[in-house]
Amino acid sequence: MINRRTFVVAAATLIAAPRFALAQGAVRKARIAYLSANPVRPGDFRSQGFLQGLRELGYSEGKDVIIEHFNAPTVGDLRRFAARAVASAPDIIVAVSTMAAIAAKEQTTKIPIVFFAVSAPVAAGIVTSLSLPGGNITGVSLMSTDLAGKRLQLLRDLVPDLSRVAVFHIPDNTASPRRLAAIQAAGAMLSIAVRPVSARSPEELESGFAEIAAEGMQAVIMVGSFVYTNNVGRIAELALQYRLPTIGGLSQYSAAGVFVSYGPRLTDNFRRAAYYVDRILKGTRPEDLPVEQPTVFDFVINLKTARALGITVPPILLIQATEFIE
Amino acid sequence: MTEAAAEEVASKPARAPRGRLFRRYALWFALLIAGALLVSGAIEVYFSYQEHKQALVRIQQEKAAGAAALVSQFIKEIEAQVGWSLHSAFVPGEAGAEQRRLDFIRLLRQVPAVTELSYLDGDGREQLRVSRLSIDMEGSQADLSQEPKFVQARESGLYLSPVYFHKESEPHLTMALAGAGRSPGVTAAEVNLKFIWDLVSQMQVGEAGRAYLVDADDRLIAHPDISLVLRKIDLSDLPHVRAARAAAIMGVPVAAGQELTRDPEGREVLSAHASIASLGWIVFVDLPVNEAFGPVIASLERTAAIVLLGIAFAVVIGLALGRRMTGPIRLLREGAARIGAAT
Repeated sequence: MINRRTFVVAAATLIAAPRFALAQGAVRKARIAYLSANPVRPGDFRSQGFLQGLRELGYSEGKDVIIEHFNAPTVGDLRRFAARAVASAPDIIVAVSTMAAIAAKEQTTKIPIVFFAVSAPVAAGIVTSLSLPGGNITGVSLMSTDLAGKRLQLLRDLVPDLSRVAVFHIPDNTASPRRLAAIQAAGAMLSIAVRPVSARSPEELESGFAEIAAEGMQAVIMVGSFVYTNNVGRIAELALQYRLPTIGGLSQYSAAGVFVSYGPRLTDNFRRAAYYVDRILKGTRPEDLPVEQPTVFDFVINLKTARALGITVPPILLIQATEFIE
Repeated sequence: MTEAAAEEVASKPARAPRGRLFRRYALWFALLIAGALLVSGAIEVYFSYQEHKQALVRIQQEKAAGAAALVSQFIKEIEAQVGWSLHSAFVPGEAGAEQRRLDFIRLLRQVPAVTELSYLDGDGREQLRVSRLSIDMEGSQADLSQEPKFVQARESGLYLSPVYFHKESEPHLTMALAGAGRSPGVTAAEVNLKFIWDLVSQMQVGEAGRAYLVDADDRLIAHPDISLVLRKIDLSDLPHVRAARAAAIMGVPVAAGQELTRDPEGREVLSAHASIASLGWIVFVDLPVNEAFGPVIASLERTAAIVLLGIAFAVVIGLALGRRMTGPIRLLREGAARIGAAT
């Protein structure tokens, strides 16, 4: 027979139990390993965009999610740092750039990997296809190879009688040969001679610009790379010095003084990566998350540089611009 | 009966009634009341369930119709914009070509969903192509006179292609409009349907409900979870999709009883739909059953609680009334027995 005392004890236990269970089941902090290689650095605009995306989804760094940075000093060190990232047993690895994504993929087939700031994931062999990435890796693409021809065409519309264009690229980047090929194909279609110039450092950029100016090149295309993005100021100065209209792939270029830039809206790309992290942390498998491509593109014209170069931008291009820098 | 026996009977206190008679009466009272409660409760719950379900389906149908209208509007607006760009055909020569190029570029700027615009002249030769991603082409003279976009646009004024997946992952469609006049040119636009995803994913359907869109081949083209769309999932084997498609083809509403089904994510849902006739697309609005029938289940629980209480009450009443009724009867019986024994 249940006596009063037993009943009170039982009731008290029942009431206390759920609270106790809740405390035990409190959400464990998610651990993210952020893998990158110099010149991509933790704290740069890419990681800031990514963090902003996480914040918008309700994650607070330190409280809900812990981010550990694995920043390799050079691309060659990526393999070691990727191994370290995997050894730290994170919940997710976030790989910034093509090389980091490839390095991470080599080290693990179990830990989910989310990539961003990658121009062509299928061509680089990171995923088997955009809609079915396969395996443990997925992310957002920049589709840069596809835009190569468009950038050349925009230059042609801006620079009267364009027939000789120099293309700066870093040969060691896996994406470079493809993008160069795309530009050369576009050049053939538009009857513009394309002259590739390899430049791996600010010094090589300087000598490169001097060389092409002497050869009588009329305009310059910068094939996107982290080295160039980190040296946009210098590139803008050189372009102005040698009076060469230049086009870059990110709006950072125009903000720093490069004549024009055409490319996907980057902030969307970085913030979207946070959405992938969110989905995977909530249980979706990476192979069920297709790789997304950008839908919004920014065409930025630096009017100050235009005036300095003595170029009048025709109205039909002014209409197309999404942003002007004065 | 002798006076003594009657006094004896009268003076005997009415003992706590036990025995078959009492039990039988108590039982009958309890059964009667409980039975009435149960029957009324069951009828109530059944009708409440049906009415609730009908009301929900009606609400969802309206939501679906609303979504269908939004999608239809989205496509029509692009049609209107493309239609305006056809007017440059009336400006002759070089000026006309310049005007057209300006119109196309403005359109691309204003309508992010359009990724490419091209103009085919009266003979089906491409004269201008303006693209967000590829190189613009002027005067390529490519012969596209056999393409469906040219042929069908000339035939009926407007052509909307089946949904195709660009680079295997992005849903697009081609829209083509023919100008006015004897041998008009045709403007074709490539439309990225990811923008319809925006429209559809922002629809609020209860807490966990979903609105989604399938094309004429029953492939998913818009869903709040875009990853399902990018995987080009074929929904034609889901029963409610089949039923909706059949109904849409015949132009009749779906027969009742099709509403409870499984959605593309595998959950049990209550589903309603609306079709967009001009495109052959269908919008579905699903609500998970536990959310949909939450109120009904709550009402069921309430009714069950009331019925149980009622039964308990009925038992108590049965006991009380039984005692009241059987007490005097028993006394009478005993009295009669004594009388019988005394004589």
